[in-house]
Amino acid sequence: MDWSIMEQKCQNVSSVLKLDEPLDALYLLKQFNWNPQTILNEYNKDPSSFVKSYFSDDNNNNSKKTSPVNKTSLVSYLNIFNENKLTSLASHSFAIKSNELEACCQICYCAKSGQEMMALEQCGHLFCVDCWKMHFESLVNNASGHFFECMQTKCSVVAGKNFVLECLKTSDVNLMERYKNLVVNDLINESEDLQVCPGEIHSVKGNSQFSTPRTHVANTGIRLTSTVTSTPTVSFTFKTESPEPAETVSQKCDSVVWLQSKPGAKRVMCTNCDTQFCFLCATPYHAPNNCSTIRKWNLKCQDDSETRNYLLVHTQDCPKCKVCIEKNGGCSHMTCNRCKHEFCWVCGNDWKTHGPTYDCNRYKGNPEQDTAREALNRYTHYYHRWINHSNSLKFEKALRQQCLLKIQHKIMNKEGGTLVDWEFLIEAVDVLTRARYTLQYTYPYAYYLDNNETKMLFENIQAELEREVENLSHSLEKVNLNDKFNIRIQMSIVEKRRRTFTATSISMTTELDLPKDILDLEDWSALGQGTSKVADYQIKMHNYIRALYSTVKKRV
Amino acid sequence: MSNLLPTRILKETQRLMQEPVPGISAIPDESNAKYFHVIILGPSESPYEGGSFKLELYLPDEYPMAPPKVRFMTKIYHPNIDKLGRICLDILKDKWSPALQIRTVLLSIQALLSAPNPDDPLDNQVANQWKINESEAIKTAKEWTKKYAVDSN
Repeated sequence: MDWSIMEQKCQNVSSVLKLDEPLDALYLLKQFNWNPQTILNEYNKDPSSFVKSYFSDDNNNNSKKTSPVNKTSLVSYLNIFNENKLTSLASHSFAIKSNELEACCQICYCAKSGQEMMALEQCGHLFCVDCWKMHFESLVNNASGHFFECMQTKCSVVAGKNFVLECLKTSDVNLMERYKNLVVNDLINESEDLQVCPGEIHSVKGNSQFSTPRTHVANTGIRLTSTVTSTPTVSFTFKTESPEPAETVSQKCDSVVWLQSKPGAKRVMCTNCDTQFCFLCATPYHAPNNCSTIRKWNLKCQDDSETRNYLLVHTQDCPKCKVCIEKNGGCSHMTCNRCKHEFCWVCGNDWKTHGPTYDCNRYKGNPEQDTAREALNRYTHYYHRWINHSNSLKFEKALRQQCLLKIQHKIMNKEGGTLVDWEFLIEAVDVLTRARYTLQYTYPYAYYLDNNETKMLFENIQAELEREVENLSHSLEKVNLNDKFNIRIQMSIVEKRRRTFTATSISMTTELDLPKDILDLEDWSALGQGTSKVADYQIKMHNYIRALYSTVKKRV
Repeated sequence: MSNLLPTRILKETQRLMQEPVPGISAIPDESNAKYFHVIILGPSESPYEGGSFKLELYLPDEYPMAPPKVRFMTKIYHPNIDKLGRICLDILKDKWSPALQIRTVLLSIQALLSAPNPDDPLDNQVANQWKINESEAIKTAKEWTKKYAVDSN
């Protein structure tokens, strides 16, 4: 985890409040959801009451100690009032030490020199450094949050991070790291604009050049891509990497991504490991599903897939009482443990019917299936397609490499075409990959859709996209320069369909109007008016949208 | 073992023996200086008046960073004390502060006997009885005191 982000956040507060020195603003930040801007807004609304409510007043110090940031420190920082006694405090804002020559610590009852006694500036309860250290060590080990209170009974002043770190500096290094992690974890969990990258960094074994996790700030690091309207960019370099690298080790990326635009569910890319993920839930990007749907789906997949396979291979439901039965012997004559029903494992019929008229070798279609198994089958249907696309995606990664090699080969051997001529191929693979990705994520979405008109419409669009994706995928396998025009058209169709699809499925769930760029079919004509395929598609698009609108209207 | 005891525990024990709190006695075990045999006398004007209640108190290794563990050995009818003698008291849990001592903990327990708090119950049955019919509950508490806390000493 990255401690520097914590420092940066605190510095932000200081700069927002125009403080000369960085304030140990942990508590203040926490109060305002770690958002310096909110602090400023609150402060600007009514500076005096802000100071009153969030910074303890010197005069009332004994009566109320709930506000852990001392007014005096803010006042001195802000230079609002000119009080002489405050200047001395500013020099060491986090702790005060006793001026006495000798003192007795009220925790360990040991005699200590004044230099060994420390107190939080805000409350002034003096205890010895060793006790403070033990106190924080014990709190870090129990790890419940990071707001560590003063040791004095009924004193709820929270120790700032600088104070805690000062006390822990002689402890185990791990302990200090753990404290920092506690703080940063809390910061990330509570901040809307921070997220931990879920990706992994792969590197060749032996060559442990992991880049250390770091924070990406928008202007230096992170590339932000907006959700639906991202324009495809092509970037490729002629690096002859073998598609299957040597033995690799992977490590969690764990970089902290700091979003500089409005937070929400959107696609972001980590510049440390190039993982694309949904910013809101830190899982692989999952349009058209919303975060809760994909979470449900992933949980289901984890739970079910293995169990499902086992159940399918080893068990059947009792035809009478529907209890799930596992076969534990070779004979097909089964007796249900629960209802004592006797049946044939092969055909599922009552065993009594097996006699002279034995006919379970004959295929008679599937008799009435019980609901539990049907639910399982339904899930299997979607899961199978989901996994299938996921596997195809892996092949497409290899395909991109192959295409790069192919282009390189063609150009080097002067077999026709220049780099510009062949550019379309890489673009096409990228379009294909994107579309396949979207397609993969439409299956969980469909699984959770109710069986109604909307679902029919959805499945129609899904089928269209799937067909076009397979077409493009097929065309790319044996491509040459003459296909350039056709491929470009196919690409456009796939990309358009993909966008339509994401947009429509999002509007299905949110019942919003369709985004304008879907209704705007103008740019289709530019693609090639002569092509019947495009014209055909245009008509179909019109029909879809009309149909979709009528469903939306009905629902409203 | 005892010569390795932290100064804090030694001094606390000394003071407990030299200036005992009225109505409370705490004596360290002969073989384990971190284990105390405690007797608290029922506060006057409470249903526990006249009874003497045995408790055990143990100082964990992290003490004073972690609270002492205290348990009633004598059966007692109280909404914040359960059948096993465990006590529901904030300073024994999340409100513990290293500045508190054995002495203050025992004083708090004594105060808890004077002022039961059925709104923050440990034993739901007792707490309900306390809320629904307080006089009946107090009667039961007095009976239990007579039965378990008077003869045993």
